[in-house]
Amino acid sequence: MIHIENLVKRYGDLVALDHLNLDIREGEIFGLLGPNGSGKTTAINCLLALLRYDKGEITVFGKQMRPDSYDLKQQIGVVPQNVAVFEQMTVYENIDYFCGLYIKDKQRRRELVEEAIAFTGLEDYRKMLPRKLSGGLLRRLNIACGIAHKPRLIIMDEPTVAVDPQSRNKILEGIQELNRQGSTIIYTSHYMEEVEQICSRVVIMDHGRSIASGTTEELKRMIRTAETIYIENIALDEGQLYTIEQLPHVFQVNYSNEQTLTVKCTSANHNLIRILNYLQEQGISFGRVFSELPTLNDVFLEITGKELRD
Amino acid sequence: MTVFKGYLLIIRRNINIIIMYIAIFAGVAMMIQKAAQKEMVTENFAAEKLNVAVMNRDGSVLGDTLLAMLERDQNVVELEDDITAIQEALYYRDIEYVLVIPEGAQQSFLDGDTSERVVQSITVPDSTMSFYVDSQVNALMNQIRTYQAGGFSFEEACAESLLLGETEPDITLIDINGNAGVRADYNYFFGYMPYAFLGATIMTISLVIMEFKNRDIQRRMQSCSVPFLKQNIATVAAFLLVGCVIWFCCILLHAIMCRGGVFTDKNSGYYLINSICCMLVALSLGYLTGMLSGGPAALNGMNNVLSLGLCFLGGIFVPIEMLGSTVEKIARFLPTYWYSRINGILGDYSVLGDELRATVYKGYVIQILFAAACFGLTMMVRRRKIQEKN
Repeated sequence: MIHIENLVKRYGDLVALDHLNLDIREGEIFGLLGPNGSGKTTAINCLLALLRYDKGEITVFGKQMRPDSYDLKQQIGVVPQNVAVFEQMTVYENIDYFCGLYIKDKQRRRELVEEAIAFTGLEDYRKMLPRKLSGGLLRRLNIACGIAHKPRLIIMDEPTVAVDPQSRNKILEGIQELNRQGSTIIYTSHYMEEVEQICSRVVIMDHGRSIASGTTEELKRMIRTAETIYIENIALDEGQLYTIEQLPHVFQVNYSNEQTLTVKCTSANHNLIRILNYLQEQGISFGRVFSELPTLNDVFLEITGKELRD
Repeated sequence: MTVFKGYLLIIRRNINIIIMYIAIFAGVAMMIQKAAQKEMVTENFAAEKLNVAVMNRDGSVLGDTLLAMLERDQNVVELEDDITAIQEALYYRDIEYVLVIPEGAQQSFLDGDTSERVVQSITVPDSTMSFYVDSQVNALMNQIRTYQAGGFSFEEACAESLLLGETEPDITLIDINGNAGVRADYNYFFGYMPYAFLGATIMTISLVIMEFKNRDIQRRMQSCSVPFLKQNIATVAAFLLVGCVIWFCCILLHAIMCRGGVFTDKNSGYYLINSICCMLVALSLGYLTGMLSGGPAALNGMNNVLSLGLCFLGGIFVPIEMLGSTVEKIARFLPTYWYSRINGILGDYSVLGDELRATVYKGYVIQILFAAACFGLTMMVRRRKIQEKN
């Protein structure tokens, strides 16, 4: 559906996109994950032909995307990173205006606007001006303006920034519902939990490059960490620490502030039991114990050596 | 059409600004129009009478003739023939002029002495009005001499000269300009119109532009399926509609306040074209201001500086003649100067000769060029901003 090949975009000496390659299939929720400044928004702007790029090729629905590809733009909905609505128009007028940019038939538009209002739960606010809406409602209005015309492809650029958890969940559920209704969605975010929750495939970006791509499971399988075990309130000497490090499938041990032990293990059965057995044998007391499966942050950390939110 | 309707919707939300500026303009125009008319029609050229005293020490025919003339043309106040009393009356401005006819004045006159040696005057220091009384006295004495030279006896000459002053000349005003030397009330109305045009248009259009130039909204607009050219056409059409509405409101106001006077004027076409040119200037300035201003607060300041500044420098509030020559030279580059100049010409002349017509056309062209330059500059700024984003 969307094919981006060797896309290069420079701002002077800064390379914002460095030979980026993407393939997005129809019907999926495609996540673009990366820290701020990794090139997600630049990639989206190039995809929408809002930015001129230096090299590469972009095709959407099998056609090359150009600034005057209005037939392609007709099938795309955009939800920008910042709330992009008119301050002096009501909720209804805003949705109607942006829907009207795509749908000329009045009757059809009225129906679509009503559907978008119902979909985003803005029924009680239709006559209100945006300045009277809360942050969460504003975000919902922002989404309603982008999806009202029922586009085939929806591009959402960090739509949940600065949104309270309750509204965020509602937005994420809405995105999944849009996908179920047939829209392909490109979702950019630096919140790995969101991407993990809703995206069927993910590309992790850093410094304008795609550093890994696949389903979340595939991405997690790409890294060494399969399980991270945390043991709190534990006192260990160097010898004991060394022994734990030598246990099978353990590849990294951290003993922070001499209180919490963090053990990273590769994929294997009974990692936790093996460590607990050793502690019992040695008569070492400890507090709370828990184990975590790897996250996309671990994927990013292991590939780039830095946290996703750095 | 959606883009056009969107503009109209936001313009409708700002309709109060248009109403406010037109109301201010209507108030100011009405006050100034009334004041100007009162001055022109009733008070101009009204004769003034000065309080004068006459010390007739001669008691001759000449003295009586001078006294009679002053009694006719001025207010002659009874005053004691005493230097202290005279000084006191002058000091307190009870009188402004004292004519002293000394003993033997008539003889001195008949001997051929100059007027200054025949009679003396005491006046309030630096009084210009006293100068006119002096001239009147001298003129009368010259008249007597003229009659004498023509063969009249002295007494006859005095009587005839006095009589001559009572004769009212029959004056026929040759009204070359066709307006009897008085500007029509609608000329004043049209004179102040640029303030309403500039104030209302710049503010309204800028506020609308500020909504649309929001970076994210622009991004949305550029991502949509409405071609860029169509969006631009809708923008220009919406702004032209704003201009038409404001222009029509002002003309309607004129129809109410001046009973549609301009439509009966021979130069009505010139008036209307001039106002349309001014509106084009206001529209282009509004577009440019909206594109350049950072926020509503800055916009307010820019609007005031532009509308008031252009009106002051262009001779809308203050007559062009009262501006210094340097300021006038600079003002020639301003569209309001040419608007005001054309309005002045249309007010002073109801029949335009070739030269005046050429000046009027020149004024139109300069206003239109100014509007076109502003529009071009706005397009450049817009393009620059888009390029910066890219």
